[in-house]
Amino acid sequence: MKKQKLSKMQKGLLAGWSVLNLGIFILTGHWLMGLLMTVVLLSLVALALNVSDKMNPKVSKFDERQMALRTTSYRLGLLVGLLASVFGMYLFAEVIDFAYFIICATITAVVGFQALTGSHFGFIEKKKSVLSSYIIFIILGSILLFLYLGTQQFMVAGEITVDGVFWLALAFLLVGLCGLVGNLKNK
Amino acid sequence: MAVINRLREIREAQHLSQGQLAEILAVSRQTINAIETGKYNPSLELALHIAGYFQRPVEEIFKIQGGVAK
Repeated sequence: MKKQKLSKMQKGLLAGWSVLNLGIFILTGHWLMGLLMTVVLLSLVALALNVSDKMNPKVSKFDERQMALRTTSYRLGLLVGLLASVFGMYLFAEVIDFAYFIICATITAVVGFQALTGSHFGFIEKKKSVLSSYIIFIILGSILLFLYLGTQQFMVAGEITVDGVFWLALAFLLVGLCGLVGNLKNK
Repeated sequence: MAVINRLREIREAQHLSQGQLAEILAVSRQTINAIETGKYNPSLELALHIAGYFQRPVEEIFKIQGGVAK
């Protein structure tokens, strides 16, 4: 399998950024924060390289139809995110809860569509593991939503006041259900 | 212009299941099913792989409904 590699310039920039980041944080007396920031950045770069490996059609575990469906899912996610941000603008009491809502709505649209059309997991994945992943999503979402029942008011004075974890739990549940329906549909 | 195909007929004549053909062509079973039911038109690359596997010309398996433009 051909692995994506960084160019010399990219490696230099990354090393420079890491040293500079650590240096500044050490000077300000927050070396642990600097270390954490560096670890997070390097993890993100590793993740990006891993993702680009998977996107390479020659080593991809997704076939061409799945890739086309995944492209559609990202378009759908953008549309849902845009609509959520336009129409939800004045519905929320707190800006942070509104932000969580947009993120969760977008993720639900992208992953939900992929789960529904069987393009979230590659075709080489075992059916049992795919199904159990979606069941875990459903259980997790249901438990979180159940724990939320009665703890918070959904709306106060015409504004949505429920916090971000609620939207995350709902996203888990919806994605799991989409996956389950997609699996039953493809049987 | 819709593309029609004889993939199901040709596959069944060879006593192959959708899953077996999918494994040979390195695609999902759902993709084979989508091609057979006309819900998805394969890329030229996949169409050539299918034709190559069954050792038939592509146009024998895939056709444009109503004939090609002249």
